[in-house]
Amino acid sequence: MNTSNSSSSGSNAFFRGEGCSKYVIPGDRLFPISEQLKAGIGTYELFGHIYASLAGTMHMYTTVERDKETKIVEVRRESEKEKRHVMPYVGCIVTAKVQNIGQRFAKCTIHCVECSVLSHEFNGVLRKEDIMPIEKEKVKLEQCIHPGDVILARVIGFGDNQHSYLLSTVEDELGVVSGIGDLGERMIPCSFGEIKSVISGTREPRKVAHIPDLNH
Amino acid sequence: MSIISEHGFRQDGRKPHQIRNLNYKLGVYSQADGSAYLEQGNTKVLCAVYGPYEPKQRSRLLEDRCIINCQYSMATFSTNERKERPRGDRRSLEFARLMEKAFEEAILTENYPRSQIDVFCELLQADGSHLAACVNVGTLALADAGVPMRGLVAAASCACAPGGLACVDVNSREEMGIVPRLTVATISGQDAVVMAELQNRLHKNHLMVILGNARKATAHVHSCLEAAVLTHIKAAIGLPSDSDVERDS
Repeated sequence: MNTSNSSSSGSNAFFRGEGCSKYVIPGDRLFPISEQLKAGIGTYELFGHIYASLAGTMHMYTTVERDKETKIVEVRRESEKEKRHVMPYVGCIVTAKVQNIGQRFAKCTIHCVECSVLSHEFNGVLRKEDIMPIEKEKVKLEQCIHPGDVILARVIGFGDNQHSYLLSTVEDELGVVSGIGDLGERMIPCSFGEIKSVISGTREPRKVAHIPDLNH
Repeated sequence: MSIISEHGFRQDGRKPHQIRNLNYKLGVYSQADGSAYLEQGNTKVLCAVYGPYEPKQRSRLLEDRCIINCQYSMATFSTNERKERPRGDRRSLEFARLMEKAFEEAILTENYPRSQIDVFCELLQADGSHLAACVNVGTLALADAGVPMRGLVAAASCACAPGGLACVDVNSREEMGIVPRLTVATISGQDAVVMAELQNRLHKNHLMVILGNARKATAHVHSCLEAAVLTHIKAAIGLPSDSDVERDS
């Protein structure tokens, strides 16, 4: 009754690129573990075999590392090539919204991880020393971000109390991408350090993300 | 009276090793991350899965893996007599803890540290094998939510007729007062048992027979769940170029 797949691991059985797709469900046995084969997203290794942990389509592609070819087997739920994330992880770029600011840090809620919109919000903390690549004493938190701003940030770790993610906007491409004015109107970046209201033209200082063609 | 008649059939016309009809529907709730509806004979269950998300209670947070939170409830109209069952009664808590243990074994919890996954099960119509039906609908909802699992958890119940004969997938009329009943859940219908529950007294000579038949019944249930998930992902993911590529058997 067990219908697990047990394909051969010979080199002739592999496909270049992503030309072939096959439907798998959790628990399906895909390939035996070998030096040329790696388990990617949606798979796990157990007892010398690679199994699927998601229901979706199986994909295989080739990478070259240290002059050695390696094939990676993945199981994806969507047809697109973009990876879908459900949780932030260390090193990823997230889209967050500033909830409130204090003397030393600002509290944010993480809404997107790279290109994926999260179905549940996660908490993040943006510390004063992680906003600008200058000395800590020269940073004024209220001149960099405000509550209601939408920011791009990178997750650099977990907070002291392990409750929330530590965010950083030190890089040039990270920072504020949109803001809210006093009248509730939208404010868009107009230079490297300022955002401007779309209605009244009021300018406010912000740590703006240097993204080409943003809001143009 | 006995569960099996003298001609070898049960009251609903099944042989002892046959399971009831399984009807399913995945993705019944748009606001949940995963949801499923399952009918196992006349037992009807709804399930919704939320998560992984950040737990509200900080004390329950685990740094190396995620928490599985299960909740089981019966609707007031699910049985013959209308009864208001609070969600926290002993039977609901027992079922919820058993389901949590089963799903903790199956879900790759180390993929989501410091997070929580909620599984809510609601029994709409009661006709026996409630725990097995809830586990089956929970695994369908988790597969719909995209939670990575070691395999699909398939559960089945088994009763011991007088003389040690095993009858799988018992309905409510076969769940008589003193009939021993065993509910077993396995991963991928194989030998990894992740949940076992026994009610009433059972002779130890009959235990292995009942356990073996229950495991075979979980293999049957797993093939039904496998067909359900495959049909769902083909409808959800399938492209015109994929329609010619079928799943190898």
